[in-house]
Amino acid sequence: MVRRMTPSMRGDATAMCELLGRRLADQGAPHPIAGAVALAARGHLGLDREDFAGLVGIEVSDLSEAEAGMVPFGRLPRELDWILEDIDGLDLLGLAAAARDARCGTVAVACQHEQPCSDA
Amino acid sequence: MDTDDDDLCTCMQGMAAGDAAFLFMFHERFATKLTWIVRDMVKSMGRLDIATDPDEIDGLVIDACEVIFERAAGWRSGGALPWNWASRAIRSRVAAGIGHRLVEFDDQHDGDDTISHAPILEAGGVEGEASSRAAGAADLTLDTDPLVAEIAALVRADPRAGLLDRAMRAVGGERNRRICWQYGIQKALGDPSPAVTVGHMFDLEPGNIRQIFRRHRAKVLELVRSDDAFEQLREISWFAA
Repeated sequence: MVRRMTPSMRGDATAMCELLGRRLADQGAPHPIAGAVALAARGHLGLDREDFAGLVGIEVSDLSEAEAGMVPFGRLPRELDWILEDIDGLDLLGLAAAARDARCGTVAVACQHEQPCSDA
Repeated sequence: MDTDDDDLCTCMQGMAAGDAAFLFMFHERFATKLTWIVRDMVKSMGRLDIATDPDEIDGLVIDACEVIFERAAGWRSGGALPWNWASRAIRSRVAAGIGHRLVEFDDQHDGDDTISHAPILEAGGVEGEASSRAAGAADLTLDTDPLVAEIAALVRADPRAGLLDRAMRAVGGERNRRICWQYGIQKALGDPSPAVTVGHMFDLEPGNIRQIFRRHRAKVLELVRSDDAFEQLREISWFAA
C-alpha cells in the first residue's frame, strides 16, 4: 500500500520529479509527470536504459516511450512499482493528482502542459 | 575509488549524455553536499530568512542540480568537484531564485520579504495593521500598492478572501504571499502564462514563481485542513479533499 504523504512529509524526490516534468513539458510531452516518474525509477537505480529494462523485464522501447512522457500515469509499466515505492520522499499520489489536474485544466501544482480531458 | 566517486562519475557521464534519469540520481546521492553549499551562498547574500527555510533551500538545491546537469558535458573527472567547478553558475541561479541582485544591494528598493506593516483585509475594507516577518522597512499603503486594492475588491466580493489572506500570512513571508496572490489573480484573469507575468513583476524566473506558488499553497492547504479557524476555506474547491 502506498503511504499518503502530507505536504510536510514530502521530500526532495517529489520536487525533483516536478522539475523533470517541467523539462518534459517544455519539450512538448503529452504526459510529462508520468515521464518524470519513469525517469525517477531508473535514476534511483542508476542504470542506463538497456540494463534497467533488462533488470525489470520490459522492452527498451516501452521504457523509452514512458520516459519521454508519451504514456499516461495510469499506464506506466507496473514493473516500476516496487522501485518507486522504495524512493524516499516520493509523493506518488500527489504527483498522480497533479497529472490528473493538469489534464482536466484545473490548477496544477507543477505542470500545466498535459493534454486536456477532451483529448483523452 | 570509493562508492561516492563511482556514483559521481556515473551521474556526470549520464548527465553529459543528456540522460535526465541521472539528474534524478545525482540529486538523490549528492543533495546533502549541495545543501551546505547553497545555504552558504544564500547566507552570503544576506538572506538568513531563506537560509533557515528548509523548503526554500530544497528548491534551490534542485536548481543547483539542474545547473550542473546543463553543464555536465564540460566537466572532467580528476579535476574540481562539479559543485565547485560550476560554483559561479550555481551562485547566479541561486541569486535569480531568491531575487537577489548580483550588484551592490540597494535597500531603498528591496521589495521581497521586507513588508513590516501591511494591512490585513477583512470584509468591508481594511482593518488595522499587522506585522509579518520583516527584513526591511518598505512601506505600502492602499494608495500605492495595487495588490492591496485587488485583494480588497476580492474581499468585498467574498469575505473568505480575507480569511485566505490570513492563512497565507500565517505560513510564509510577505514576498511569497504577494507572489501567490498575483499568480492566482493572473490565472483567474485567464493569463495563459501567469508564471511569466508574475516573474516579470518580481524579477524572478517563471520556474521559481511556480515553485514558490506550489510550496506556499501546500503550506496553506495544510493549515486550512488542520486549523478549524480556517474551516470556511475548506469548502473552496482549491482546498477540497
